[in-house]
Amino acid sequence: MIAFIKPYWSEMRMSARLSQSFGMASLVGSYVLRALRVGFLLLMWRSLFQNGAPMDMTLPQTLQYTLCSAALAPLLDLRTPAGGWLHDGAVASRTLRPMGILGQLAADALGGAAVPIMVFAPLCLLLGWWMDVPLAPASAWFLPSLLLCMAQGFIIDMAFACIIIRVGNLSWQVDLLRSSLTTLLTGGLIPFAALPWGLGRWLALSPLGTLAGAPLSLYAGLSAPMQVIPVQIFWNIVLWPLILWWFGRSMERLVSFGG
Amino acid sequence: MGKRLLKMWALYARLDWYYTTQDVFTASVTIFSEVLWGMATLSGTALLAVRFGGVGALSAQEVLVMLSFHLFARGWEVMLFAGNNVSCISRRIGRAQVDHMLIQPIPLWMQLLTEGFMPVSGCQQLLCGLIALCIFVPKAGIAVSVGWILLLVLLILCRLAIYLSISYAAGSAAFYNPVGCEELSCIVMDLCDTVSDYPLSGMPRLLVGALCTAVPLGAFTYLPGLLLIGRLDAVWAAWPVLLAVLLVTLAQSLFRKGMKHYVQVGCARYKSMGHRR
Repeated sequence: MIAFIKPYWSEMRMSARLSQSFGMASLVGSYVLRALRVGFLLLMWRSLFQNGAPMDMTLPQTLQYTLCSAALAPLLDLRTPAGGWLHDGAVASRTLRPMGILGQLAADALGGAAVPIMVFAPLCLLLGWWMDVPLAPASAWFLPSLLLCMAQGFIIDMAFACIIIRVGNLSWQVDLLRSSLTTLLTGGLIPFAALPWGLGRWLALSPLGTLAGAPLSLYAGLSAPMQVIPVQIFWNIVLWPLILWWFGRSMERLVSFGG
Repeated sequence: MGKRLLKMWALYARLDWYYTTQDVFTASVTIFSEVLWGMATLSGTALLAVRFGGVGALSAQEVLVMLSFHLFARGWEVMLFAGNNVSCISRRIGRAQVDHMLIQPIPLWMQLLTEGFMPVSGCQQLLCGLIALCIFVPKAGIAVSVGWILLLVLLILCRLAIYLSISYAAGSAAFYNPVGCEELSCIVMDLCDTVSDYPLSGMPRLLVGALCTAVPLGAFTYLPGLLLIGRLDAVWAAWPVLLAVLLVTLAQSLFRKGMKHYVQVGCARYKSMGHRR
């Protein structure tokens, strides 16, 4: 068992170190700037509520939602290095390793998420404490929902990797498409309750909507667990076999330069 | 000199055309992804403004005009300077690509002014912004006159100057620390892009003041937006101009200083075999 886990653990550690390889200036700069961005969002919510904005959620819930979204962003929208490996050709050498490619991608994704969470989550907690935001999750179902979100996020990332392979390695364009879709449709930035025209109700049932929106709504006490968890389980059951099959077919069409 | 500039722009326009139109599929995916990206980055704030009838003292239509300006101005930034990492200058400095520029028989300023030109693959946000302005400006009841259009042009020029100045000022750090600061311009630009589309109306006055002066993020969208929707008198247009002049001077000074250091010390990013470390 340990012999099986050891290579993936090493992969995670390498990925964690690599994600910070640009040095302190880049590290500090990116986290300070993320904190500023979160601060802006919190102030904007405060401003909206002070002007009497009618919402199905309270100000503390909204701030809680925003802080948790910022603290756990790498897990709520799990990104593997698949796009980068396809772009620079590293995928060719990766397939030669005595580890499954999916396992390597998962280990890399988790390793890459570890340091940002370790650094930024305490900052968010500090900010929340300073702004008097309740920090404890409203429901213990938040954790299983987060795990389901991570599993679903991983397989959706694989779907985008398949798209990159199918469109001939247009990694940048597909990454833009993915960022565009996840900005609004996952509920990571704006809670679904804050969207107009009842959009939130439909997005919350979609495969992207059950990514960030699901665990965050449980964290802030906006939804009942039985409204959220079954939908996440459904999408995991539907997407995993489908996208794994598609991934297998796409790998046969893989063309890689460089590495 | 003018003829040379036009020739350079024509050259990079041609290169961009060849890249984008290599096949219909690539062109379609490129254009579609750029359009979607432009719309998506503003959609959050726009939907909030529509949902709540505005943000702070600004009505929903006024916020939409502000966001349309943001998209339109950013479209110019992308079309004129996004290609070849011209706007993200720390990447070129950190990767020792300044050496490649210095051996060209063209002045550095001319290279930086022309190499970023992407009229085909980079015009989507500009077009979307223009369409959005055409839709939302009349809806907000703003009278479009020659003076208003000249104000729009002035504010876009100021924004371009401020945007590039901030990037080049931050990117100058890469002369001293090539690896550590390679991505610094992009990080700073990312902040400017993501924070500047939040309307500052309703936020603490001290913060708004700081963001329109010392940390000029408010000068990207909020201040120009207020001028365009008529919430501020036209005389306040002098402030973005002054900010632009100050920041260009600062960026130029920092860049020259960094360049002086660079020509003495160089950048050891390349191995003798030609690969980058």
